[in-house]
Amino acid sequence: MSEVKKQTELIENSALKDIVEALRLQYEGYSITRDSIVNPLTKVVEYIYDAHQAHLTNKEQCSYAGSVLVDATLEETHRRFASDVAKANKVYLAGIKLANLVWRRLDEVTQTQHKTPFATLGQITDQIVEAACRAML
Amino acid sequence: MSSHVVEWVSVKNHSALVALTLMVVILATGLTLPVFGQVYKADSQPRIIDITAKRFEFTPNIIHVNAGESIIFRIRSEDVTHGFYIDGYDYHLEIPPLSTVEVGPMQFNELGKLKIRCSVTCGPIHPFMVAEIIVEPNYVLPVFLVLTAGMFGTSVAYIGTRPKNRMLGISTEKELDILRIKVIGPVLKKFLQWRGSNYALLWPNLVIFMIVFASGFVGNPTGNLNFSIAVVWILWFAAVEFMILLGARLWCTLCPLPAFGEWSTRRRLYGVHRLKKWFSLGRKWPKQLDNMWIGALSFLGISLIVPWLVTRPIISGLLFVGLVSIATIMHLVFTKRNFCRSICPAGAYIGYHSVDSLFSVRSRDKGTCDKHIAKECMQGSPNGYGCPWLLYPGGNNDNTFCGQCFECLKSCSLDNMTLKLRMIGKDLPSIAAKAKGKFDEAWMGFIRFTLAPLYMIVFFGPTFWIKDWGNMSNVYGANWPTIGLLTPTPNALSNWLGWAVIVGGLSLAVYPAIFYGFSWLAKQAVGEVKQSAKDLFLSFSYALAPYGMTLWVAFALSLIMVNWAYPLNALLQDPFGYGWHLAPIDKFTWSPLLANMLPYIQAPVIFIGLAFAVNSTYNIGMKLFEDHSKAMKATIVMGVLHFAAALIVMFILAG
Amino acid sequence: MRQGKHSIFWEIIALGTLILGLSFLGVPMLDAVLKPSPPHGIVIRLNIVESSGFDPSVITVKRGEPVKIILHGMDVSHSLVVPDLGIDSGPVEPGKEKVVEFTPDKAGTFVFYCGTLCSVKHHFMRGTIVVEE
Repeated sequence: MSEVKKQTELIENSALKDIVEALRLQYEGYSITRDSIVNPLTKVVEYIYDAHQAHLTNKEQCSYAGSVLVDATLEETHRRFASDVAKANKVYLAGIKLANLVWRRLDEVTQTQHKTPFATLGQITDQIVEAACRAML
Repeated sequence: MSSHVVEWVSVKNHSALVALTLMVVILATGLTLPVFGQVYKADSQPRIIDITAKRFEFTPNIIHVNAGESIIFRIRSEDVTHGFYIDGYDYHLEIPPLSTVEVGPMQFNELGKLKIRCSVTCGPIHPFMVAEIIVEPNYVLPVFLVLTAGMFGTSVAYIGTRPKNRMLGISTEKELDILRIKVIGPVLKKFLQWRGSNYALLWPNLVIFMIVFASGFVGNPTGNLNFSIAVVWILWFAAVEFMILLGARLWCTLCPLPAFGEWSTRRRLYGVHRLKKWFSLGRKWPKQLDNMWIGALSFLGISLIVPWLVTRPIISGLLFVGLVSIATIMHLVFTKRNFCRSICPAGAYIGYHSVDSLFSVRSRDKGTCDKHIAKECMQGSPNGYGCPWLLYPGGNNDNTFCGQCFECLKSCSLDNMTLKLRMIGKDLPSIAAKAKGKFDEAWMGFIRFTLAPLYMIVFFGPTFWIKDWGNMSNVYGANWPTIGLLTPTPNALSNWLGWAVIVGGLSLAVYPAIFYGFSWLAKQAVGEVKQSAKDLFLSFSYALAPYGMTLWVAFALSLIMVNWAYPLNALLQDPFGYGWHLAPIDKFTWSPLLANMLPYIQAPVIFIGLAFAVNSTYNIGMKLFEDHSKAMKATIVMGVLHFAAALIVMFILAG
Repeated sequence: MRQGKHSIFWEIIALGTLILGLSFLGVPMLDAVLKPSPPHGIVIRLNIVESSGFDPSVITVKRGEPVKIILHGMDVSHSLVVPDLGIDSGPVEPGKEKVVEFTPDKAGTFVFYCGTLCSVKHHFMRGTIVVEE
């Protein structure tokens, strides 16, 4: 019950809405597969996990994570460059939101210390990615 | 393409066309001057001229002969073996120690001045052991002076035709996107966006630097036979001037000095470290030092020891070890290229002149960059690092601190960064107009501008005492084992202080003071404007960027055309002066290339510089006052100073 | 450790070339291999006494066997004179070479010196040639 409730909260979360919207725009004209959603989002989460573990600063790292998302989505469509600024900005901002979300969760986990962060990472990734896939596919 | 060219150079105004045509005629006159010769009837009795050669001077150092006069030179060496070579004459005479050699009778039919050079390595200062033969009547000097006046006149006449955003008839607004040129563009783009491109470009220089270190410490103690001197201070020093003109800070792309530090902080040679985390303390470089002061003063500092630096391998070796150490430490403390921005002496002058380069790294469309929130050119992306030179490349309009590492070409995900070809002086007026308080760059300009003619006198002039003061009367070459030979005597040290006062005084005080005087006069001439004399002084000093560059190009020409054989032998045959034969060809014999033509090539280069200076001053004036007649008045006043400087250089070249 | 976008493979290649590049620092050590020494030849570098004079300053040859000495000028003009063996190379210009060939016909230890004024301490520029039986 509580698990389902949490997921619903996430879907309603503006971050996820932004991600779905941004990815839709970015993949316009390209076929959307499960991989093309899972891979970029996982990359961002993994990046933030590493940055968090390395005790780097939130602001700088989340902002960079936005670029990681842009680059990863371009890679999924075998492009080197984004087609226009508006789309690139959307994806970038969505990436930052996602990164912030993950960062906050990791903060909570490390403060309470009732679970190992790596297990939490898997959970967070699963939740977000599954939710995004459900919304887009 | 051809329509492009027409658009760039089209001159609609007829009087402007006339002025520009006259300029070309003046340049052509300078170039073709040596075609004319003079012949007088030879006297029956040849005149004997006694010359004494000793390290590193010929006495007399200026020899006047009459055209057509029959001359016998009787040269005596007072110490070691010297050589006797006259520009344009195929004598390679050897004068054994304490003996006398006669050459002649010979006649001189040239119009002006010829240089006598030592052709047998006689010690460290040997490449700069020079005397002069002046063929009387010396027609070249007055012709050069008239041509200079002509150039000044036509330049002023040209700007009188109200050229808008133009540099000598060529538009400074048009730009060519190099990455969109057919065939070359895509290939170059592919290469520059490949992560390994920087490393690949840098690697050959890394090898060269290793050889420079090794030869500086353990190579042949005699400079011109040693890689660290021949390649760095003859080939590189000359090549950099041309690199600035064609490629702005292209050298900074290739420079291995800061590479060790940069690789350490990135923990990568090739790729982008996955985590945006630097191996560095990440301290902030103090803002009051984030300018050109240290770089300008360290360039001047190097000039104070230049007679030793460019002739003693160990001094070069120590300098480079010092620079690499400082650069590496600075990277480990301040993360980014603060060394290159603020400390490096070469970085300072290359950056100063780069604003006048034909080349630039710019965004295609600034609007796109402004709208793009990510600003990957600053913060970096998985494909490239954020600008290591601490710029915002997307909005950059100034080459000064753009090190051309091409990281922004790699990191930009919008394909908005490119290389652009443009006319000299495109950004200059806007940079100069914002010069408030930028005394550092103004003084960089004064130092560079003053030192160019000074170097011409010191290195290729006949005056011995100034060489000797700078050289502290030392006759020994030195590598690491023999570094003790450089211990100066107290007398030599006090002479060196004299040299330091001359070099430092001229470049730091005398010329800036004169420049300020003219700026004040310009202010009086212009009348009511909101800028103070100090503002004009700083803004107009930027005209020295193109002008100074051409003076150094002229100097570089004489350096490389006379001494090309030394770097080639060091590169191909014998880097350490040990007697190796690496390439299966004969060693090149020292024989200056077109040395008798040099003044006629150098003078037109300086004429172009004068025209650049006048036109730049006008463009800066237009930017400041937005009024033709005010800009014109200021240009004429400042132009007189630039004209006078050109006259002085003509005296050095031909007087 | 997770891989970044750019594979570690290229990083290793780059590191290899870096080490290759840095190794050029040791090129002077190849001197023994690269200096032009013909069979039965000896290379003598000519320096002023203030740096290192004749390098090497003691050479050993065998009586009756032809000797080839390559003189390489390092700084200013020098020469090699062995009065006892009647040898005078004549001036050797810096950066250039001169070959002296002879067959020693008597054994003993002989002094050689520089015959071209080269520095203040020119007269101290000496060496020894040992002709063994």
